[in-house]
Amino acid sequence: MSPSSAGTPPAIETRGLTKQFDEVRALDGVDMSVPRGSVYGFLGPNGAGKTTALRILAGLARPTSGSAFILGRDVVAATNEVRSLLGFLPDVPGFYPWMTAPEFLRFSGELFGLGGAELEDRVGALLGLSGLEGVNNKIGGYSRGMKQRLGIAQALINAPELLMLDEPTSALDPIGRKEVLEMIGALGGRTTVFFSTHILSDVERVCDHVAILNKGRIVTQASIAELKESRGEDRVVLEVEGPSGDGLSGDGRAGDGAQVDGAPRLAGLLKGSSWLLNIEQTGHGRLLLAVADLPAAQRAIPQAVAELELGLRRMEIEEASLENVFVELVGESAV
Amino acid sequence: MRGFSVFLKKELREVRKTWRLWVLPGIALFLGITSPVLAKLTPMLVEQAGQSQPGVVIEFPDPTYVDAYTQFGSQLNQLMIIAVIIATAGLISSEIRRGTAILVLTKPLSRVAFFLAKVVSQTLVLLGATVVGTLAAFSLTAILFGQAPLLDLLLGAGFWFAFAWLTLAIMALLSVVFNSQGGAAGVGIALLFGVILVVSTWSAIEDYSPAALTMASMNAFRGEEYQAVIPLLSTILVGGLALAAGAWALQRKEI
Repeated sequence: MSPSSAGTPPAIETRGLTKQFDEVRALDGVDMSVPRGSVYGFLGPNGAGKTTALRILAGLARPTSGSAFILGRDVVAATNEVRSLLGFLPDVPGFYPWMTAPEFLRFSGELFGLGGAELEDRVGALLGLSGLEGVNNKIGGYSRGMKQRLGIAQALINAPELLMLDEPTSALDPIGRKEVLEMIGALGGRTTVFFSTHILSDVERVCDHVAILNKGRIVTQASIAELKESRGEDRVVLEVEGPSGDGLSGDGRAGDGAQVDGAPRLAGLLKGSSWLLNIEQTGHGRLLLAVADLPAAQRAIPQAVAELELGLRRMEIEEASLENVFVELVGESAV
Repeated sequence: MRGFSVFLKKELREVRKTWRLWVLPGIALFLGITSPVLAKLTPMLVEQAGQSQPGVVIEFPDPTYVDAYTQFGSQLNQLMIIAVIIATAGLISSEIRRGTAILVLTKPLSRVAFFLAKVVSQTLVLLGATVVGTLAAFSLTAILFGQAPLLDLLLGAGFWFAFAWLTLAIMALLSVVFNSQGGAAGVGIALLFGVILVVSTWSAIEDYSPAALTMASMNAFRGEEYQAVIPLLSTILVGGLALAAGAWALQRKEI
């Protein structure tokens, strides 16, 4: 049993999980805890080690060191026991092309020891959930989206306590992606869903918890709300026009026709405000402000603009997003 | 062995629904039909070819069922064994490459059961192919030569089947070790010729090794004496070891 088995063990727990491939360390001491019942996003750029972690958790690969537990069972020692509690969808699911969807679901169920009316009921329900009801073609003729939905359905055939999905939406078109995300979202609260992705918006859309993996290391893990609160910052995008008069034409342009930039003067005035975390000029007349206290900023900025007799063309508030957190932790290049 | 019967049932349905049903039985059927025909026609064709050369007279004794059986046995030991090697070289690796192994091995199906179910299903295909080819050879021989002793044919085909099963067991192991079907097939063929070379030059093991089954098979087809007990036992032993090694290698393999 896992070290935290005194109470109900988490759905997934890893301790110092490390995987070395020759010169490459794919996972480097990963400590992670996935609460039961959560929809957990395992986020990271391509090559971060997400698939390697999932392969170890699914019993397809062995860790070089460290340990991993699923629902309190060691994934290396209790393989059959772990697999009976688990539903798994790899990034590119491979099906027998000569089977139909109901045939594959029946076969999958039989591997879990299911049969009779119970199996038929589940097959019918999962075909409905995956939108494959009435589709009797061979799987070999399915689109990528249909295969992905069938992949999720087969992973649910045993009503798993933990559903693990590896990049379930990658390489899908927008409609296929929407359908798969809706399926995942519909599972929230019914089972623990752990899915890896490099697509930030997918995590924001359906997950309540997230771990961010970069270069084989967990850089953060928390509920999405906590993460935004603790690490995220609201941002204000400002666009101002230069003042009229003082040798300027009435439209705020310098005598020679050039636009006067009021942004540096505004930045200078706002600097030092208690609610301001950072300010940078992003273009002519444009400022991007990172703020700690959004209401205070909403009061102070128009006052400062008026004080400098500038024209306020745009004031747009961007609330803290996972993308900001991800960029901060992983780097711009990873997005 | 959890999941063995479910996966074997899937394998047998796959045999029925895909090309796997036709390849080995098809080749065996072809050999079973063509061997008696070739045995019947070859002497006539050679004699006729000789008549076109002035002063050359080629005479063959009338062909008999023994020639048909010998032809069939030779084809089994050469072409059919190579066909078995090629057809089974991707037995395991193709499931891993296609991603189907990941889906089934993350369910409560043990890797040993997965491996053995594939071997058993392929053994049944091989047995079916042997029966089909043998029946064809028996029928054509009886029609063309008016005589076709069944026991000689069954014994010869039976000994050949044992050797082919050993080939299958070794290929199952190689298909775990090598990710490429071509690589496993190449090693399998090299191994076959290597074993034949070693056995033919090392008289101490000539009568005891599984390769001696090919000789026993040919002798049985000809209605001659054969020594098959020790080669059969050594075949079962080596085949069993190959299967054990294959199952162990698959247990260790990262997929």
